Amino acid sequence: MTKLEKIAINVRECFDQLWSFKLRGTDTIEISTPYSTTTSKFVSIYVTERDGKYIVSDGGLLNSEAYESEIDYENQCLLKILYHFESFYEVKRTQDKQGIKHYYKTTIKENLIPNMVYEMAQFVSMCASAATVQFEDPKEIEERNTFRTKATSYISTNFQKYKPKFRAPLDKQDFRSVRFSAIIERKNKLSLVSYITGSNPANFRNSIARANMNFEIATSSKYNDYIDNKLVLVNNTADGFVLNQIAKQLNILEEHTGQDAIQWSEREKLLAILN
Amino acid sequence: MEKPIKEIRENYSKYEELLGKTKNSSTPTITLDEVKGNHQNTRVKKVEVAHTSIPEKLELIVESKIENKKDFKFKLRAPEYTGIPFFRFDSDGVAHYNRIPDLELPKQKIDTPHFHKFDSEGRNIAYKTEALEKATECDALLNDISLCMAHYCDESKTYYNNENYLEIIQTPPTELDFDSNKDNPTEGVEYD
Repeated sequence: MTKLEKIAINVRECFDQLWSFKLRGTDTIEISTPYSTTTSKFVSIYVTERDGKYIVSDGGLLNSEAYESEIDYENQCLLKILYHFESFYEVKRTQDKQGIKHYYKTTIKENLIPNMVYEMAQFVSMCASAATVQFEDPKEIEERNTFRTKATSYISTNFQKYKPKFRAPLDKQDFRSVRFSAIIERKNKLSLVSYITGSNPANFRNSIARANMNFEIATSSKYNDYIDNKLVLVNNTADGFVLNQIAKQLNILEEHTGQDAIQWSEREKLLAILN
Repeated sequence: MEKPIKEIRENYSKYEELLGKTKNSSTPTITLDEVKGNHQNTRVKKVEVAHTSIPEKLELIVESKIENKKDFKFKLRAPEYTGIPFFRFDSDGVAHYNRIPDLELPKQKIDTPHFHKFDSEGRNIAYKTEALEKATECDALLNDISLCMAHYCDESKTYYNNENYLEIIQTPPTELDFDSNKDNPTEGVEYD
């Protein structure tokens, strides 16, 4: 045997040692595979035998963040990547009682289980890794997070008695995706607050547009009669706050909400409105 | 992507002091009487921990799956130092990939149960203790969360009153205490 052949054999033997198993319940085995993710986890695939059929699944691990990678189902770029893998590998999807998505493939042929494990493991590895890609500019993320922290701390300190909810959806059913930076409930009426900021004017305009869309959805919803205030808290200290580049968009938003936007430097105006 | 933790790499002596010196929990018994906000299938409790030489508030978080008492996590955090837990135990879950240079590939995979700590490069490193390597001892630890916590207490030097092990109560007295061990995530799921 040549040295190079020995190297190749060692590679195969090392790969082989990466497999491990755990029996789960009476009909399932967890196979920990040599595939890994960029979150430094090894992919586990579950093989379940039920009524003569083999189900090869991710056990719901991808959606329950076991790989420490959170899938943002609102990120269109990420969704395109995930759908690409889903359709290429012909992966099916179901939901358990807690609403966790389970991805799987099935076969009735025992000799084809390795094919399913191979493809499912590739699929999980690539999805978990893709979900950790930083799609947005880190500067923008920091700008948004910093302003959110400041504004949330101001609101929670000053309006503690109303127990404000932060980053909350209008409701958890039909309006799950319509989130506001803060929702304050007073005397059975709602005050919706959207924070607006951006590290450059383009991102600032996007932030305005997002807020405007959420307010419009809220206006046309069954909750409209209960909405007291549609408040916009604008970060006028942000780099993206360049008035001549954002004024038109801000005007449209103010027309829609019927209330003047509140600038961060004049945040005490919130006290007059909400107390 | 899992990046090395900058705060730990830049101030590793503090990390060694945090982990290596005695810490004290504010309470001897931890009852998991809360449910985790974004994971309704998990009970959780956070208690304050005081370090004997570092004057920062630390916290110990214990999590346990409601339907599988053998699936639990212990985490120590030092929020003023770094956002992520600096010392952790996972009883179950996926294997960790220790991407340490010069370590042979098969040794880079660490199955659960395992501990997590950080090396001087700020890398998250999973490891097994001798007790976790031995099947019978490992089973005993996973069957009794308080016994496992005692092991964690020694590994992390976290006690009550400098010497007492912490006790964990997985089900609060107000709830029915089923001895459930549902470790099969495919159970009850309907497939085409």
